[in-house]
Amino acid sequence: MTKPRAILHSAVVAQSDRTPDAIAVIDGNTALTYRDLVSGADRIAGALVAGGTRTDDVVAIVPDRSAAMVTALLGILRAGAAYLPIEPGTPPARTRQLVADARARICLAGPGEIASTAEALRSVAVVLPFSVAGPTPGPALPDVHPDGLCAVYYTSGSTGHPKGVACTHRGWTNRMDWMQRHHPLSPAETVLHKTTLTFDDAAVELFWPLAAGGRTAMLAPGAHRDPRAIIDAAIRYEAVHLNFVPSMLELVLDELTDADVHRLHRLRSVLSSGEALPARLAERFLARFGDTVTLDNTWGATEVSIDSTCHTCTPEDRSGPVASVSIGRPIDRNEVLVLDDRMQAVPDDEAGDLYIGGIGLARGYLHAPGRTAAAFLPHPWRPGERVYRTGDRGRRDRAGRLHYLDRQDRQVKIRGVRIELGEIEAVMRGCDGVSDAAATTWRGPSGDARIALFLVVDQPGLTAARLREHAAATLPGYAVPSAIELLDHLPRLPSGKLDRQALPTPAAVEQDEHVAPRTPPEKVVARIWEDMLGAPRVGATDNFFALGGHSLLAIRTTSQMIRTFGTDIPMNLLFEHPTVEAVAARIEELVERQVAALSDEDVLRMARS
Amino acid sequence: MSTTEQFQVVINDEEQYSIWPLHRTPPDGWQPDGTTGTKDDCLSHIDEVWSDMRPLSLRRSMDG
Repeated sequence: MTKPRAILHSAVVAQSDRTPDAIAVIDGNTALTYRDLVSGADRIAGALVAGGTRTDDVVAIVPDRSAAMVTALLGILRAGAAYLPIEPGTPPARTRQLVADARARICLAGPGEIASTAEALRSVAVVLPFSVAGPTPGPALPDVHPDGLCAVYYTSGSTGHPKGVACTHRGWTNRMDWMQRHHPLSPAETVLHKTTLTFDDAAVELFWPLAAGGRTAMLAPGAHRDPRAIIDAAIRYEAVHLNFVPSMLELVLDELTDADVHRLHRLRSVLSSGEALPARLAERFLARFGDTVTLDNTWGATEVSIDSTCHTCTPEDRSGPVASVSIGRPIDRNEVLVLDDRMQAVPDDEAGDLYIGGIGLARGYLHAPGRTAAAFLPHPWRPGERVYRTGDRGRRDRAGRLHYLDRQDRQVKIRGVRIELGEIEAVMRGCDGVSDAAATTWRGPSGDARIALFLVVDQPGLTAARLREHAAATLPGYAVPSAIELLDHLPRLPSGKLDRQALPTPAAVEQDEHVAPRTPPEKVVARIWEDMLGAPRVGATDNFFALGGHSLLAIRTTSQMIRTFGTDIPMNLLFEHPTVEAVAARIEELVERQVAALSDEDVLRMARS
Repeated sequence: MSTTEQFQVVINDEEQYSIWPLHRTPPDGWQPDGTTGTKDDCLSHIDEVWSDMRPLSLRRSMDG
């Protein structure tokens, strides 16, 4: 037997030949066998081909999480076309824009959406139902190539004009194959399709079980935001696997009772994707399920077939100092590169830009060559291959595990020093009693950029002042926020992601009380800083960077202190101990050590000179 | 990355286009197509010339 070609639906069709009477798809009303599924899909494919659909064309679909919808999706693939999902309730103008941009001429819609969709797409595309009558087999179905398109997923894009990611059979098949190797699914086992189809993770809930001979069970439409409905459906369908974004996983854990845990006895694996997985949430999950259910944290991009790395959470994740769980290592035939701004590899443990290479790369953005060329760049060392620039920052540790830090555009420069706002948040989330953190930049009274940190605490009595001490003790001086404020909760977007625009402007920075320099070294250090910073009055507890110092000034100031004290002061001293009292204390130590190291001869020579 | 940084348009054996800083040699497997300029210049050129985004091997397989 030849190796099956990397076509997303070919394993489903093969399964229908092997076990035609096995259940493939279940919703609240219907159970479809593999034979029902494939014969229904072939009738739709026949109608699409008869309607002029050709290989690599795009067919739109308004999903409703019904069994018939799965038939329609498979029908689009059988016709050699790619599906473009459009969320029900999308404004008509946006629906028209997506369909026109993708040059789709046919749209499939369920009974509840067909009238409004037909109205929205009048004179743009033909709208057809999810099931068509007709003979099977219909017209001959086209040959599909592994590099052909299977789906088009629009991402919002910062410029406002949406970009359609052109996903390939080869990339997606690899993703489904990895899932089956990682979490082998047996025939008749069920995965819950709970994610809205317009998120690419939903494809895993459909095509992985169907390719493996298992079942996919439809969560009722509209129920994907209801943790109780998700738990009940998972129990009812005896789901063995569930996908979540962390914010929904949190709500589900809030809702979950001991009885639920007992009734979810078939559940083996949960996968988290879409956002950084907080270590606290992983800890909560493991405490709830012990070792009966695994929790995978994945990271990736729609541009590279949904997910590209995976980390299976362990109890060690709980005690780690970092607030987010590792994103793990690349999955089969994926490669993650951590590069600097010249696209050269950065050493282990150093932060860089995350790029993804390998089999999962999409063809590009549909009908957008320039935008494709800007995001899919030459692979720096694999001849002729491309890598996708994710826009995420991260690092690889010495064990080869990857860690997500932040979005690239959240790397800010404060007084010449590059700072990852995400790292500040991560450190502060790791502080006992802090449940959430958001760092942002703002303009101080004098117009300079400063860091503000907003924290949510779940420990009564934990004050901003105590948290400032923690920040000062754990963060490099230049990264210590100049304002720390406590909020009841952080503002969130409907997706559950942080709404940075809605963060308040920090109240006037609390000016630390002036403490006059006490010891002679403190007085000397303060005078040098006054000169270098042009500050009128520097106190013993003042922070070099809060007074307007930056990295270049820090070096010049250190040089000046070396000259004045006549002792070797490490260049990073100011960065590690940015207050007058700390610097003075350290200099005193250095001077004492230098004197102690002098021989009698040296002392005599110095006395004579 | 400043907007005045100069880039070159490069193309691989699958006739996929991309860009690379002008002052650096493109990685193996990528040839300059002769167009240089700002990033926007290069991307506009690519918008004009890359009319069929299927990789060459797929085009040959589908059309041949």
